Amino acid sequence: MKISKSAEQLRAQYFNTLSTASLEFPYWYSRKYDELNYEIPIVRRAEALKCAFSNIPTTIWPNELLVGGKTADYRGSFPMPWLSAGYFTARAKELLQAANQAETSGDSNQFGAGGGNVTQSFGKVLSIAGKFGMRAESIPALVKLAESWDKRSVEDLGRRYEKIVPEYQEKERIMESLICMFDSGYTLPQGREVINYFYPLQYGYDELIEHCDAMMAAVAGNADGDGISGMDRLYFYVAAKTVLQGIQRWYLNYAKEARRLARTSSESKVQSQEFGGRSSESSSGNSNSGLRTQNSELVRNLSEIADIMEHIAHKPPQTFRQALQLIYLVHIAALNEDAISGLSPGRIGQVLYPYFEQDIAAGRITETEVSELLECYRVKMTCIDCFASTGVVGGVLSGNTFNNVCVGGLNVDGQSAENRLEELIIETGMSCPTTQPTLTVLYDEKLSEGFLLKAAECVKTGVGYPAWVNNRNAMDFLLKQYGPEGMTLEEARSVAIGGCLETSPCCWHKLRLNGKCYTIPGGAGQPTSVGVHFIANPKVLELVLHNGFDERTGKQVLPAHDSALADFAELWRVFCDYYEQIVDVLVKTNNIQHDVWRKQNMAIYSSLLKPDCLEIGQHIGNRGYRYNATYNVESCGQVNTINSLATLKKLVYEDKKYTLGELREALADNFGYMTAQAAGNFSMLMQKKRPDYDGRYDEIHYDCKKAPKYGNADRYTDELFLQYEQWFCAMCRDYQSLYAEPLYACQISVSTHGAQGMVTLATPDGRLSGTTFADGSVSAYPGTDTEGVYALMTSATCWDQPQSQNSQLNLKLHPTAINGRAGTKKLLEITRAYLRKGGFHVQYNVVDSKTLLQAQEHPDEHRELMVRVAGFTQYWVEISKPIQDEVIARTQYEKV
Amino acid sequence: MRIHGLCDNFISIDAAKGSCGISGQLVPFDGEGCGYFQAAPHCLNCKHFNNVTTTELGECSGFGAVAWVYPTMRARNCASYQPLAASR
Repeated sequence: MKISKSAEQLRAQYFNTLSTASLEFPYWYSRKYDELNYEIPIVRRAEALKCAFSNIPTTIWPNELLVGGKTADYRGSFPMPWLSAGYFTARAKELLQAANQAETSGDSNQFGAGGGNVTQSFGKVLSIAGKFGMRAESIPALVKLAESWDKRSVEDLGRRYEKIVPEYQEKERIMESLICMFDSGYTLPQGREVINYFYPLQYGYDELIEHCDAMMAAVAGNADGDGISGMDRLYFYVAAKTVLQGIQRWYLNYAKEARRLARTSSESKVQSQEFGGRSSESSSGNSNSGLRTQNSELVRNLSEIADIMEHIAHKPPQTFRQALQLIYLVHIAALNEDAISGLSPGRIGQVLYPYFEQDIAAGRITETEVSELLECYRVKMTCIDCFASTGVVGGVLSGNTFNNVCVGGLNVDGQSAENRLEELIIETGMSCPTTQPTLTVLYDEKLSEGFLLKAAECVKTGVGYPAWVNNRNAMDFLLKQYGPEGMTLEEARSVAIGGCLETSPCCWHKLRLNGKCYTIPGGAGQPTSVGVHFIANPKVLELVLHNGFDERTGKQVLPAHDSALADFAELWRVFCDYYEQIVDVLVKTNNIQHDVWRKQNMAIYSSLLKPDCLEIGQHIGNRGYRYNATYNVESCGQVNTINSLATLKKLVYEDKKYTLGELREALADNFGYMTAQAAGNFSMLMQKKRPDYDGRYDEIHYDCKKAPKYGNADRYTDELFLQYEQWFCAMCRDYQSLYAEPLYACQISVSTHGAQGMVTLATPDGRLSGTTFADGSVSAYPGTDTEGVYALMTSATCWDQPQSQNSQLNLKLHPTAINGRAGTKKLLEITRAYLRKGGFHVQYNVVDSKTLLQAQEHPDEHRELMVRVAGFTQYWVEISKPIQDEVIARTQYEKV
Repeated sequence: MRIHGLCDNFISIDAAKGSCGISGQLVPFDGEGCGYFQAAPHCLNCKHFNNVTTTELGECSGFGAVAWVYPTMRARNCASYQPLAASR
């Protein structure tokens, strides 16, 4: 299948575009917010959002069939100083100085290294947070905006109250030592969830506003309920109506822009010819007629865009193109309302199927045209950037935004939910390979063989998607976690994946289109990955071995345990005790962060999209969503920890070949090796011994590496892994989120295994200081799974995986291992075997490691190369060196 | 300033460049505009914009109370935008 011309051009433009931050949205938001200091907080925020949506520039790029964007720029984003302003206020002087020194146009066409990342300033473009380019002339306004939010941003307010937690200083040391990666309340308070498009699709904005009007009249002055939240309903409906009006204005501005461009396109025909014309190079003798045809097509498309935007600004969509345009803009609006990564469209093949089915039947659209629109959608979604701090965007997200589309699964009646539109979604994932949206198959035994083979074909192209998630595991997890909030088996069938791999609660809605009723799925829960993010397990073990002291920061992070760690049981007890101390303080401080967020920065637009906010008149912060038990504890580096515990148990406590002191000394001295930073490589490949090293740790390092390792169906490590998982999954439930609901375990690494590995000393499993941890949660540490893929799967499933929100298994296959039609079947069989054993998730990199090494050496020649990192696919050139090294080092299966 | 980035025909792509609505070619933001240059609706081209200060910010009087604003803000969708007779 060949990519359509429009998508090809838009995708080519993406590869030539820099991530760019601008200020129109924060400017208008802040200006209106400051005018309304007398207003009820939620209405004040709604007015600020309305003002921002009404005023932001509405660029329409050439060749677009779907329009819209976060800002005026192709890969545009913007800071939200009302959430966190400290980064800019702390650097105000430095930024202003850089802006003053910015050069004029001479070298403005230079691009920063790393694909579209602006990692260095150039010309009049300043690098912000190591990724985004911003015009130098905007910097004074950036500083002014940031300073205006000083002391009143969510972060500033939250920190003030966090400090009242008695163990706050401990929390500071935990963050400083990077045992925990980041504060979710100040960085990405929403996301890792599935959006719901039902209300705008079914009712349209005019009717939703009418609903708000009616409800305002019904609830005004009526307390109802608990005497507090009942009165809040009025303000929620006022706020919802206000934001909806802003969204309408935004859509209409696109219509206005399309009509303006259509007008100027007609007028500029002659001027264009003077320039040589857009088509003059390709059309030799008849350039004028070619130009006329192209121009009339352009004008027709722009007029169509204007018609669509004017329609969906008021009414529910009637066609597939209108519906796709609408859900894309709904998505962007939610992302502009708050700092979000991992807002997943969910099962859009099922959501949009009614429009697809009826348009195809009526001859209004062909499958080729649907595919073209889906390809354009892929490019638009790939253009989404998330503005957050360097540590979060680079260290955690690798620049990815995790917009996950799920296919398959079950319908409300328990039958396969696959459909023809989902097949086209998979096909366009192959014809238009881009990082977004990533795809996930909700694997169920009821899905057809043909459908599954098509998904396997897609994996074989090397794009890293779709991932495969065990639908039954996901439902089991949901029923356990959300059963107390009323989730039924039928509702659990609506499950989808939020973010890269966060199993998310969803629901069903009846959508009526032209007299026919369809049951469509959509999100129904709060962000499912907020809370304690991420705990570096090997770093916790390091603290245990060093009596609570962090060698890197030189600080006593936790109170000394003063245990001799005389036997393995004692070591395990202290490990659990330290871990629980860390979780305890982080949960308390995190609850304060999110509480301040829900009071000051509550979601309004996102709230009205999800059940049952519009019905009951409550926003997310008042438990307006149907499911609220969504907070979690995320961990990283489990497999290195298990391998390290196995080494300690075997070498120190059972064989007694080494004392704990001897091992500790070897670890502190990095087994005689240079640090990863000094070696310039962050995997175990190509590490170098120090020139002055005398060989004293050779034997102990050899023994540590040869000690039992996870991933080989070895009972020794598998029993430790089971012990760990049973403790971890149960321990998380002992803590309560701010919604007074139990937390759960979330076991994905995203990219934290790189950043947190960098700050961790050598570990008892033989891993060297500063090198990246094993990825995911059940992937083997690179090179240690020597018994083949089925042995790895046996180890991975030694515990009951639905006790956790997820698990994550990455496999790297050499393309020749799954060659041809037989290879496709083989790939499906491996996947099926793992999921039948109880695996939650598996995904594949189908790539030759030599290609990756070449790409690392010559990044400019591999701009389009994509790899699967943890739960996401990313462009090779846009991921950090530690993660690149880790992906290269992963065990490559030549045969399966 | 008659640079591409401040021209009404400039379709912004990123901080460094855009597409020219007339020629269809990529043009650098800071490159010198051509004979078809037309000032885009940025705040600096609005009647309500005044008082550029030493910090390169100005003031907007388009909505009653005066508020600070920055000159290069794109203002095509601003309800109070009123173009100056000639571009600056």
